[in-house]
Amino acid sequence: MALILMILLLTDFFSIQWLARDGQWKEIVVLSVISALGIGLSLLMILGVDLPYFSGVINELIKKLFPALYKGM
Amino acid sequence: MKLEEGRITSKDSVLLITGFLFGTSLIFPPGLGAGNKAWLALLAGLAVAILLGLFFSVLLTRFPGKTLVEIAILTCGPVFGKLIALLFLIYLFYLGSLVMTNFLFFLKLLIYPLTPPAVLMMVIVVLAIYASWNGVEVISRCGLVLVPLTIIFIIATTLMLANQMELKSFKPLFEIEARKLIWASFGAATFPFGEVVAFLMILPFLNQPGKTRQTYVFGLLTGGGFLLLSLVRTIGVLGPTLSDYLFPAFTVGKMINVGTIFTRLEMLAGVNFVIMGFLKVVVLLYGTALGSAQIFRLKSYRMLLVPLGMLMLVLSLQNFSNVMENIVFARVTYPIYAPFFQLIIPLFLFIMALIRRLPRQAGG
Repeated sequence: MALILMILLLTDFFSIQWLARDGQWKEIVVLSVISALGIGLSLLMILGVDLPYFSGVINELIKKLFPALYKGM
Repeated sequence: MKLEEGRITSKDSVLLITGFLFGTSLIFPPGLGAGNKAWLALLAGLAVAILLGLFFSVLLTRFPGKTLVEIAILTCGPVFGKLIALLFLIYLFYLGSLVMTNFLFFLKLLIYPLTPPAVLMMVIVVLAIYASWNGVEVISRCGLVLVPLTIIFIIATTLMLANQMELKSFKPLFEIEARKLIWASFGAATFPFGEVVAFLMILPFLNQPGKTRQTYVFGLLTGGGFLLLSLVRTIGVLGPTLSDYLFPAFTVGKMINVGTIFTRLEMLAGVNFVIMGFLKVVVLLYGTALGSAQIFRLKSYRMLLVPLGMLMLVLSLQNFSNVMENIVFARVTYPIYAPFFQLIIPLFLFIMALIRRLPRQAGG
């Protein structure tokens, strides 16, 4: 996970520097938001926070929204 | 400014669709809910998918050179259209992470049990980022090289297992509960066939836009045909016990024994899965990055590839707690939510285009 974090930080650093030089601020905002999600998630995993598994969340949602279909499958 | 300047040929795209369909399906065969009648479910799923492919080509022909994201913005306006496009991109992105999770379980359980999962995934993601960085032409050329190789492997393993295939493995031929067959076919239609909806982000770059329909249909037929061959081979060897195995195609590879010279060639199935899964991840990552750049009107999609690829990787590590959850998700949950993205969104956009009589002029 630390490897992922390092790659994200490094590439962001260089990309943002390069984009800022060209004045591409919109690009910087989008890039930063996506990177922040990745960095945040990796940090939570590194810190051992007990995150729910995403498929479990989707499973529960589908079970609640379409109970008949879920049973049928 | 155009985000993608490259153009691909119809032949390359047919191979790319074929490779995309092989993706994870070579290891997790579709229609397994129907047991040894999975071939029937696969055929029914393919029939549905061809109709779906024809519909996608109608949509693309109506808006030549436009991706689904651009079509959504054109037909539904900048706010609602972007919202729909974002939903579609979330689907592509999550599908990419699911493919990577499949990779993870396969590699972790069968090939590299001691290697940290993040390292295994990193290799694939870095390659996928590199291929997507180089644009649609390079992606299609990846297919041109890798797909024929996979097809040769499929044919070779089928021939080598011919001595172990038995006709009785398919019997009773049509004795199956209708409800079970319908659900299994529905499952096969959504995974992998319906996933070709991702090509609504790739096929607008055909050098001959008039060939969209035949590209979709030939791609689906070629991919479906070889998947059927692979499935028939697996059923022929394993029979009704097919659905008891986690990775049936890999299991049959272990059984290869031709004159005690060619034995245990399960790695061929492994190689097939890795290279085709890679191709699928590339297409999905490219589609997500390109679509995001189109939504936010960025100058390039390339700088989004690394953060999106890494986020996909992190997500893939947090998708399932174990492989059984993955299989249940693929068989039960996925066929319920996938049609919303594979059919409802494109159909809604098409209806909106009809109602608003779009495109009015060149470029809408």
